[in-house]
Amino acid sequence: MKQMFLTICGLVLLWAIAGASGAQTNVPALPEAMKPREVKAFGVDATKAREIAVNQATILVGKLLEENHYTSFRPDAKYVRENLLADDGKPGPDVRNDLVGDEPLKQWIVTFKDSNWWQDVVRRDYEAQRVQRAAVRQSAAKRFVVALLVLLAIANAYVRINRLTRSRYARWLQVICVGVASVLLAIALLAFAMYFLAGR
Amino acid sequence: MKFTYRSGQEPLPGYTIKRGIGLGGFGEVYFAVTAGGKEVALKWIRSNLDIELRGVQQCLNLKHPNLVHLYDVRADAQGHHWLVMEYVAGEPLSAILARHPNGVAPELAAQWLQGLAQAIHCLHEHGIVHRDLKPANIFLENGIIKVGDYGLCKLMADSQHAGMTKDIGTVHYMAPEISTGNYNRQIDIYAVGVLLYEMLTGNVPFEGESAGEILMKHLTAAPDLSRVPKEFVAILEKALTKNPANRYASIMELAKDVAIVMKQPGSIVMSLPVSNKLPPEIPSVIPVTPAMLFQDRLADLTGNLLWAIVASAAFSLLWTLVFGAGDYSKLVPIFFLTLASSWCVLIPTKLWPPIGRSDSWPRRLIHLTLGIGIGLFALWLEGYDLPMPWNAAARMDALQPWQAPFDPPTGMRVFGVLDRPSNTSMPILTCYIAYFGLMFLVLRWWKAAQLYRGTRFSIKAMFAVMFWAFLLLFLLPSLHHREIGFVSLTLAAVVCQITAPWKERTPVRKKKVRLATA
Repeated sequence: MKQMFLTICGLVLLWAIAGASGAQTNVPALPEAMKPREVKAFGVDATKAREIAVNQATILVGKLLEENHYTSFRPDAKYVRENLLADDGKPGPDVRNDLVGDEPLKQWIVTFKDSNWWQDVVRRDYEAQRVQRAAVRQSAAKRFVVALLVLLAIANAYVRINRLTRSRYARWLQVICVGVASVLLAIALLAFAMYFLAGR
Repeated sequence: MKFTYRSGQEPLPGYTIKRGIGLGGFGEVYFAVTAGGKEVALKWIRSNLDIELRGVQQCLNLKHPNLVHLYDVRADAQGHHWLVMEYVAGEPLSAILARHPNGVAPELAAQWLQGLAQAIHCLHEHGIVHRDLKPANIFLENGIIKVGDYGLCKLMADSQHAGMTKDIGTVHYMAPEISTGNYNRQIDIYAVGVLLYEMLTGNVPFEGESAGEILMKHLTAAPDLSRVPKEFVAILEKALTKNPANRYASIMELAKDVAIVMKQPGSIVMSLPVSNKLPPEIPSVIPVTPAMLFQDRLADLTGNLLWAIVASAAFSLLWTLVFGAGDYSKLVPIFFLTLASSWCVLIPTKLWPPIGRSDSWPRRLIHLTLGIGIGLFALWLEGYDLPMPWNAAARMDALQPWQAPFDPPTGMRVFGVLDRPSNTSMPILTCYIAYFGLMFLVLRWWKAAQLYRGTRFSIKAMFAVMFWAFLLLFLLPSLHHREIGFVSLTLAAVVCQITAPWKERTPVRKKKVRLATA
């Protein structure tokens, strides 16, 4: 009963506070001037032109992200085709280019969706950043736990040996423990320094 | 000698004898149960009846957690007098010392001495001198020292003249002034000194081939203190001094000095109530005596924490292998959250004083705080930025509303069933701290790590965690990886129970009952 009461109170409180806070997704909108509308591409045939158009759209979105300092997520052609483009596109007028040859180049035009796809792209960049940060933090946490494991083992060994010897060699044991911990710390610092230098 | 009564007999109306547990010159002691099922010890007083009864009546209403309670004195149809006492399920100190021929750890001896001192102090405050303190009369039940056989005179009238008691073993603890017939509570302090010496070294200070030889040593010889840890030498010198005027004036002074040399002055409770009522906060089961010594705690705690690391790693790996569907990305966060959660249960449970009600609002609030801390740690571990003053430049995505993950969840499909449209009002930060905070507030996690819990491992505790985790995950918008939150707390419930030390809680350990040697 107490548990149920606590849960209900806690949840009601949470919903009262957080539910009313109306948190909004904090993604800055892309200025209208920067917003791409369509991409035109040319190819020897329509299929090739369409493929190139999608690739160029992908590159364009990547450049847009980079210009806005979103560097963690890079969309691929599949993502752009499925999420950012309005449809498969349409053929444009053929273009004749003497440098390419006699055959006219096929043109393909892909159009971006009118919806706010930028928000989704930025959210994915946030997500990619988060995954990168998570990897770094988990790696740091692993090292921390290993260090803690060693310290706990030393403390445990000290107390047990001290108890076994009835505190007769307490001073010596303390010296040994501090010594071992210091040596391990020095090794860890050295390894860190070498890793840091190697990285440079 | 054989017991007069056998199992099933009812010499005293309302009390059915189960077995005999002690024989001596004063009578016989039986383990019996009342018609209502209460377990008691019955002592048939066969000799020195008047002296015994006088002493017993003085102590009948005496109650103290470190004293074996005397319930009543009854007479049966034949006119035999029976003393109804508390049934103590623990071992006598004599049995413990027999297993430790070189004595016990000084910390343990000091710890036990505190309980012993409290009991003796209570008797002295009521004008009672125990007069027969010895390891066989001291019991250790659930970590609590219990002193028995007080209020019984033990042919002390004779011993005052003869210089010995009927029980030769008692001579080892007899103060020199007893032979003069002029003694007071100082003899108990001397006996406690002998007991402390014995606990520390495994031997009594004076041994001999006859009672006379031992008594002579008590009167004339100085105890060999070279085997005693040096910090106890001064204490034992004072406690075992021949002249009672030079001994400690009270037993609590001795206990205080012991606590000081053990650097545990806070462990002394100078005056436990010596009224006829038990202090209300004393629980029926106390894991260890009120002052657990620092080194013991440290050894236990570090050992538990180490095992928790190993167990968390093992169980996280096992879970990922069995249910992970080949997705090993969740292994690391599951491990860290399992470890953090189990530590947040083990450490406070170890440090929480064993006095008082185990379930209290302060305790729940501490667990709530720890749960919120784990929620923040989970956020950090998942790579979310927290809204910190020094982190203002970062995108504070922990304040973003929770949204369904981009990729369909892998692993256990049961969590996929619960996936609902993204909640656009509750920030991720709130989801995390609410889930872990409420899980720690609602459940009584400490029960899984207490020393005296019902069983070593309770599957019910694990299912309780699973139930509440599932419920909260259903009610809350969700965590980023709800499976991680669910699994880590479930595994923490397992890890806590496996790594935390366990002792059987039942007060009845029928094989080791030796209440009194009469």
